[in-house]
Formats: sequence, C-alpha cells, structure tokens
Amino acid sequence: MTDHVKLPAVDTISVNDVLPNEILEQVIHNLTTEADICATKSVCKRWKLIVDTMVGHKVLATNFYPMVHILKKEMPQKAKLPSNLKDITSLNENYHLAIRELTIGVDELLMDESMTATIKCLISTCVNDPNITPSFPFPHVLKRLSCFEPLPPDLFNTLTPLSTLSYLNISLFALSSMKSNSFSGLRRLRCLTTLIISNTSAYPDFNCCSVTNQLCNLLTELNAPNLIHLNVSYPVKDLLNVKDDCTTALMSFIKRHLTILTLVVGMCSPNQDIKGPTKEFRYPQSLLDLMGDLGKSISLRSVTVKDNHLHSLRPSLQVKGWTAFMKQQNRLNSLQFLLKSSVELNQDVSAILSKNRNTLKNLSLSCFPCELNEENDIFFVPVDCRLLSDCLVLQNLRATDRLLNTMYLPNTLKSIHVDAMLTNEDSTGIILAKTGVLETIEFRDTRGGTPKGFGYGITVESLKEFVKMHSSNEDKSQSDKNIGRKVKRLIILAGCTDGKFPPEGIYNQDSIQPVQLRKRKAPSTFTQELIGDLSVLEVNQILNYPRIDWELNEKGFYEDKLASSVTSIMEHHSYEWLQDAESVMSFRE
Amino acid sequence: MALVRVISSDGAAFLVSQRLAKRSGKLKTEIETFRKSSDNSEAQPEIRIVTIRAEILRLVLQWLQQHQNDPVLPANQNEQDGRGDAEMGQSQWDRDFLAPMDLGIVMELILAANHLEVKGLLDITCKLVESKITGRTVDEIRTAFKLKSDFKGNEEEQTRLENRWCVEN
Repeated sequence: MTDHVKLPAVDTISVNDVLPNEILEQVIHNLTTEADICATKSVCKRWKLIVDTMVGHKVLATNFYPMVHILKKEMPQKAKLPSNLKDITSLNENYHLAIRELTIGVDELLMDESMTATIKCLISTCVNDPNITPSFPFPHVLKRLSCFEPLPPDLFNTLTPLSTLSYLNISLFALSSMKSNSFSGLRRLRCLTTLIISNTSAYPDFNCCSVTNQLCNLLTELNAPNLIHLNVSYPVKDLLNVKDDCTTALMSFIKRHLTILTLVVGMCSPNQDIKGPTKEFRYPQSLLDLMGDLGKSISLRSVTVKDNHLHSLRPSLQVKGWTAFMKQQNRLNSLQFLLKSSVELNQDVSAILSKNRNTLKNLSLSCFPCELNEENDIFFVPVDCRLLSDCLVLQNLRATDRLLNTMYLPNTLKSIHVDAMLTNEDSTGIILAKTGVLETIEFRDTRGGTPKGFGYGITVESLKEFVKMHSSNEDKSQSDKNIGRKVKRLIILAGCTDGKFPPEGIYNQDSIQPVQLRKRKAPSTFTQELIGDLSVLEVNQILNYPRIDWELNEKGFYEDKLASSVTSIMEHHSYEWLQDAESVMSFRE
Repeated sequence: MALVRVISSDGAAFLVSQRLAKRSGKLKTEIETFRKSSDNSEAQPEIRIVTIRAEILRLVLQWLQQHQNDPVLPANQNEQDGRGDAEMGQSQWDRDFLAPMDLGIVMELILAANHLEVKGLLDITCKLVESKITGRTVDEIRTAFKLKSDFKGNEEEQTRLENRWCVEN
C-alpha cells in the first residue's frame, strides 16, 4: 500500500515542475474570458500546448461583429447595459471572433445567424472545392457546439472524434442543408448531456420537408448514452396531418435515451400558412396508446410543451399525444405549458397535476385562446386556480394572464409571476390572504398582439390594496389573520398602468406595522442615452423599459431596489411601453 | 468507531475515522483493498502516502472534516456541466482556509487532492490558482508562477497573432 512518486522539495518547485497537464487544464478551463485564456497561452510552450490541444478556445462566428465593436467603443465604461446588449458584448469579451479558418483547438463554437460564407471559411480552407474535406483541428477538445446557420453537409463526419462534446444546439435552419448521410459522426457521443434542436427565430425560407427529413435522420443516427436534457422544436407540416414522422422519430429517440430528465417539446410551423380541411380529425387511439406507453417507460423531472404555431390559432393535434405521454409522469418537479386553449386541456392539466401532486414545485401555464376576441380584449386565457388545489408542494407559479378563483391557490407558494393583474375580485390582497409563505410577486406585462393587449401591468389601486393588506388591523377576520405577513419582493416590470404612482409613496397608515412603497433616486439616466445610441446602430428592434423592484428593507419599507435595471421587448410593442416607461421614470426623485 | 491510520511521507501518523477517510476516493479504495486482503476484520488499516508530507496531509484531513457532511461530487462533474463549476460549493470557511497559504502550499494541496481523489478540494484549489491568472498580463502570470518564456524565434509573435482578437478588443 505505497506510492512511488516523489514530490520535489517545496522551495524549488514551480507550476511547471509540479502540476501535471490535466491539473493545468482544469485550472485554465475555469477561466471564463478569451483574454485570460490567450494570456495563459502566451506564457510558455507547455501552456500554449495545453490551451490549444486540451482546453480549446471559445469561438464565435457572427455578423454582429461591427455592432459589437462599436458598442464597446462608444459605451461609457461604467454604464449598465440592458441584458440583451450585455449578451452581445459578453460574446465579444468571452469569445474569439473568428473570420478565417481555424488553426486552434476549440472548446466552444458558436455559429451565430451570420453569413454562411464566414462559417464555411471557418471550417474549411477551400470552401469552393467539394473534394477537399473541411479542416477542424482538435475536435476532441470541442465541448459545446451551437449552429444556427446552414452547415456544410460533411461537418459532423469530419468533426471526429467528438469525444468530449457535452452540449449540441442545432437550429432547424442549420439542418436544412444537411443530407441523409450527414450524421454518422454523431453515433457515439458519450459526453453529450444536452441536445437542443432549436426553432429558427426568423423563419427563413427553408424547405420544410427537407428539414423534417434531416431532423428524423439526426434523431435516428444520434446516440448519446448519458443524455440528460432534450429540447426539441419540430415543424408540423399540417395541423390535421397526424402522420408526422418527426413525432415518431422523437418517440423512438426518447425510448433509446431513458436517461433524459428534462424534456422540452415545441411544435412550430413552417413559413407558409397552415391549411387543411376544416372538419375535425380525431387523434388516433393507437398513437395515443403508444405515447402513453412511452410515458410509462421514462421518469422525467421537468417537462415543457409548447405549441408555437404562429400561423394558426387551432391547437396542434400533436399536443394530444404529448399530454397522453405526460399523464404517465408521476415525479415531475417542473411543468410548463405554452398551448392553445381547448376544452380538454384543463382536464389534461388537471390529471397531470394530480398525478404529480407530491413532487411538482414549479408550474408555468400560458394558454392562448383558440380565437382572438378583440371586443373582450382577451389574448390569453386566465388560469383557474382550482386546477392547483391538488398540488401539495407547489412553490413557484407563473401565469400569462389573470388568475381566477385565487382562493384555491396552494399555501405552499413562494413566488407568483403573473403577467397581468387587475383590481377586481382576484386582487393582490386575495393572493396574499391565501398564501402562507409567499416571498415574491412579479407582475410582468409582456403581452401584445392585439390593439387592446397593452397596459395591463398593475394599477395604483392594486398597489394600495397590497400595502393595506400588510396591516396589523385588529378588525381582521380570522381568515385574514395571515395577511399581516410581508412579501419580501414585489417586482413590476411594466410600471403602473395608469402611471400615477404617488410621488410620496404609498403608506398603509399603520403605526404598529408600518408598510410603505416608496421610490428611490434612480442611479442612472443611461436608459435614455442608450436608446439614442441604439437608433444610430440600427438595432432599433430593441427597446428598454424600466423595471420596478421593490424589496422589503429592515425597517418594513419597500424600496425600489433596481430602479435602473432594464429589460427588452420587441419594437412592435414599443410605443405603448415607451410612454409607460417615461411616466414611471418621471416619478423618480 | 472504525479508525484508519494514515501516514505521511515524513512519517507522521493521523488516526481518522474510516467514514471520514472514505470521502477520499484513494483512501476508500485502499481501505476496501485492506479489508479484502486481511483475515482479521477488526484489524486497523494503515495507509502510507509517500507523496504527501504531514503538513499537507493535515490540511487535506482538516478540509475533509469540515466538509464531511457535503454530498460527494462526481469525478466527472466538470465534464458534464462545463466551465465554472469550481465556484460551486466554495464557502467562507474554504476562503479562510486557503487565504494564508502561499502558492507552493496550494500546489502541493492540489497534487494531494488529485492524488487522494478529493474532488471538492481539488476544485477550490484550482480555482485559487485560476484567480491568480484572471485579469493578469502574460508577464504578471510568469512572475506569479515563476515561469520563463521558452518560445523560440517567431513563435511568440505567432502566438500573439493568434491572440490578436483579444488584444484588439
């Protein structure tokens, strides 16, 4: 029981004398910026070799580069950037921005939605000659690969061995250039834990049939025995065409990968409008049974189902299959639905919640109505809290619209995120009254798309009611006794809908248990400057609005915690949001 | 309580509980090997670690004792989760524990943690070395780690060219 390796005397050792390559690799691997990794590479030959052949670089191929460069140059050094721009500038700091062929080892390759020529240039020095195999040095170093642009068909076959690849994200658009024999390099990915087939944000004009076929080929060929996270968006050609190969291929893939714990399934539409016969089709019982059997064979912890048809308001038939699958789950920790509403959906959700009542902690429900009704100003379907009454350990609830029957909210809730709240029988106070350990309430109004779909947020009246509920009033009925507790954080993303937050704050007039919402001086007026800069840079899809984040301080007062933090929304919402943002900003001291 | 005697390279013996010792992958293997080969089930295992001197072994055991109730980290956690995992699990106690150590001791501790297969300790010590690289220039790193450039001819210039994106930014 002895060892035979002698350690050198302590006072003479240096890193290179002592630490083996695998330890140095681990040290360098923890570095998060390319600047640091490049510095280590310049220290000495050994460190360079480790970086190039064991650690690799993070490489980004993007056409964002000019914008990133200008942003870096123009932005004030200490200015706070909105999160969306932060992402872009962090790409600049954390990645090699590559414009030519790779000669270095790559740890993470992000091929953004950029010019195809750039990407081809990266992986092949002779892109115009189909007979020359693309070059890609040290593929065994590659751990994370993200592709959002059509790829050379031979890419995966030349990227071998991908012995350390742990994360693979391919967009449907990227698959559009592949061929049936493009995926043989993916037959044995031992380290792959995350596979994402992502939807294409811009819906470019690609051949839906070709993408469907390549997705099926990918799912058939790829084998990852340690896969944990699977996130698949797949195109559904026809809402009424139940014979879709993608669902079948996906079912087969899941059956071969029972290690999966987190599943996200999104059904998306191709570019063209969905057309089909108007008469209703029934989902075949045989397929429902197959989906149910598949659900029995795997035990998931988290499931998300999204029905992302942009061009149709009818629910996808495939949703029926996935709900049949989910009804067999009984150990779910998280569940998220983004679906078209239907009569059966409530029954299905109810059944799933009931089966996972002992484990479900996080629930997000977003249901579109099948038909828009602008007269009634409805865009999302309110969530009926009676669905939740079975949940025994539910902690976090997110809903896209109002909550109905809030008296059924579980008292285990710690946070509620709701995109709209009006002063009515479902007011904030009732939520507080029915919840025992609530810590955070977040109101965000991210809805849009109908002329009346803006400006829900929260009203000043609701805020007054919120503060009033934090009172030691002795007249409270027994059922209201727990109202006196205090929520720790109240976040309002869109500000007050009526923009009339009182400059003196809102006070509950209670000397025993004083509670007040009050504003604090905004640390920066950078938001306005930033919007100006952005228009110069022609990224005017991005707009920013303030977020009000009240946090309970030790004295019992809610103070505006993050007055200057901003987030982004799309331009087509901008006019209304800008007005709201200005009204809120103007009330700051 | 079942005990195991762990002896350092300079002959110091540490008597520790087997439960604690088994949080080291290496010691766990040695104890199990001893059990299989020993006729006497009551015999106390004795493990000699000739690569680790007493001062360092004491530090490892001290760290193990502090973290005896932590979940054991899988050896390949970083491979699965990517960069930056070493930050996870670093407590104030860990920071206070590492603060007085000079780089030489830290490197010995890294080797010891690697040899004894103590993943958590290896992570935080590597993180400490990493912090001595973060944000520094090449010369500063060479000074900190007592290293000299061994690039020849235009090799350093070539490396600088490869790095030009970072430099330009």
